[in-house]
Amino acid sequence: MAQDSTRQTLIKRVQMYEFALTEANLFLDTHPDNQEALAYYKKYSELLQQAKAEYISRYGLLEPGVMEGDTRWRWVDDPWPWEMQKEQEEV
Amino acid sequence: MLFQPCNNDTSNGCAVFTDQPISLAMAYVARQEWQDLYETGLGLSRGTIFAQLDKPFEREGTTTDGTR
Repeated sequence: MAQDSTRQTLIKRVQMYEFALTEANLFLDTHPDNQEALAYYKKYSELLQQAKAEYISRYGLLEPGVMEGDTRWRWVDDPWPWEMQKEQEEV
Repeated sequence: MLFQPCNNDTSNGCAVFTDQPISLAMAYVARQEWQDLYETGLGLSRGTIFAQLDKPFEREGTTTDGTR
């Protein structure tokens, strides 16, 4: 279903950028003066923020919490990670 | 063989993974450079963004020439 594949694409983007940042972080821990790595980290931090914002604006929070105007703890409504995994396999 | 004699006579044998001189009986990790990055999507699926660190264990281990 189109909505699902968009959701998969957006969540995948968040995962990709988060992973890239973790890797760059590990490198920077031992190479703190490396300017290329620093620029890479800044770039993907921004991209991650955008990817998260886009996902959240359409599908709700990525971490437990309450959004503006929520009158319900929507966190329990979203698909659980293992359900997302199932959808990912179906897409 | 992990160590092999180098062509330049100054060192007492270099590791196959690095041209940096290595002494005996001391552990050594070669210094990684920021290079050969995977695109983020590939990085996520390979489990690293650094092509040089993408060394899946293939039964007998990484190849002896140190490229994989």
